Amino acid sequence: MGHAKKEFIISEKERLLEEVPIVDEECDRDFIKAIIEMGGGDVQVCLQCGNCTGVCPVSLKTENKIRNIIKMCQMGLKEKVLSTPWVCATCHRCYEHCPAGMNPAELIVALRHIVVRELGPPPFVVSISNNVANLGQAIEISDKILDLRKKIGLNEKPFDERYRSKAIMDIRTIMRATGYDKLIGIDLGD
Amino acid sequence: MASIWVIDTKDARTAAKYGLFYGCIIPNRYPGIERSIKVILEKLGCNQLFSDIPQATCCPVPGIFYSSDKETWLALAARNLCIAQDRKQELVTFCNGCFSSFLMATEQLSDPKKLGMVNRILKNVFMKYTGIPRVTPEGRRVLEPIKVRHFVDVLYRDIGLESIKSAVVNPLKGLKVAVHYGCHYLRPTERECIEDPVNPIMVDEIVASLGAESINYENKLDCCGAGGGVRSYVVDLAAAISRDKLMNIINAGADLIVTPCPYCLLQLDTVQERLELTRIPVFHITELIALALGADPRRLGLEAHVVPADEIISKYGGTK
Repeated sequence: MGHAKKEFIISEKERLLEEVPIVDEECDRDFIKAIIEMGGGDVQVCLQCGNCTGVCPVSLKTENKIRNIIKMCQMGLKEKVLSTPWVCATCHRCYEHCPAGMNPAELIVALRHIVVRELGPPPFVVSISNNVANLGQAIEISDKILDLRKKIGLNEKPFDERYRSKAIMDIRTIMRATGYDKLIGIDLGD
Repeated sequence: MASIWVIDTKDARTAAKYGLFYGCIIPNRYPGIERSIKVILEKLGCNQLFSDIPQATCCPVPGIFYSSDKETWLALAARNLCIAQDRKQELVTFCNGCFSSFLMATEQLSDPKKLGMVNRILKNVFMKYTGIPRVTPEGRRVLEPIKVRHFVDVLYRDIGLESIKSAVVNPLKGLKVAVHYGCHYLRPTERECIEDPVNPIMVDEIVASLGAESINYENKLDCCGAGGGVRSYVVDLAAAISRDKLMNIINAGADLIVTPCPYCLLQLDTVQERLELTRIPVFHITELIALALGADPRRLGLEAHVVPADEIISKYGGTK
């Protein structure tokens, strides 16, 4: 088999290496405010040492370097940043290795909040949220698994039917109370 | 505080110390894990300490809910915590994601401001998170936050390796196991501090207690690549990260991958079909334990796995 060779995907290096200077109009001064509001306030303590990027499984494979994302946030380069935050495994290695005690994974979460509010949620967020609102669980069950459950001696339905409708009603009530249904675009009926 | 959940009184007054929280992937994708949990508890003779939580719903997935609206995520997590609270149970999870989600929720609910916010929302569903009332040895009344446990931790610390060892009927002699811990078992360290985050040993020792050998491999603590929405958002990236992990495991000569997380299991299992490079079975730690404790392999639901484990079953599945 030989030594495991690292694979590099999504090469955007050429595009990023184009010498296009950043102009003042690109920098959104309010962006940092929005990040702080969403809980990514410590973005300002980043010293650009690059420890986070060195240990990041995503930075290893793509040009989505977490250090660059942080720098772009500090500079207010909102447009450049908003396509990146769902490309993070939230493995928290960056946080463990940050000498400034910053939590880059938490910054990514703040960026996701901004993306959801300004550009809308990505399709998988909508479909999984719908599953939770309709089934109480993130994953749909297939007929194959229903049969398998029966075959190996489990209750055929994973969800206890006595509690199911009440549990789903609870979830929907909570989603309505926080406005999550409107934010994501889930139709809760009535 | 009594809640309207007291539908089945026998259920609500359960004497069981631990509530089993299966999450979403186990019952709906790999039901054999659910079955193996039941087998393990029966074989270890500690059935009466554990009970299902039939009212529980999704934890909810931090990669979706925590990432899009923290308030909704916390309220939905707190709803599950309230159920454990009414049952006065420790919440036992079998998934690193659920574990991390609930730990983060209990941590945030210790902030009075967030607690107040959540309880205002939970009022709509007639619930209130307070923690479990206890009397300290000095006679003080306190409210203890819900204890969130990973099953590995419960097995290792509460049940003990000796009990597992003495219950083994099919020793897994000669089986080379690559343990994959998964990120949210280990990090962030101040929250997921069940063991040394840079040198975790509990799953390895459980594997060894079954008679198998836990082998070392390069970058053992690396991510499977699936977490945080990567698997749903850029499938190729998740696959590329998994590929490195799988190659290191194959190069170390493993027969089997074992993980305490069903999401890592789902990724490492299904990605092999996509990559067409390796064919190495991936087990949840509970499935491996059940096999060693003499569970009938035909009733472990292993057909739900993409990579078949026929060879391992015929070698270690006992005579049944």
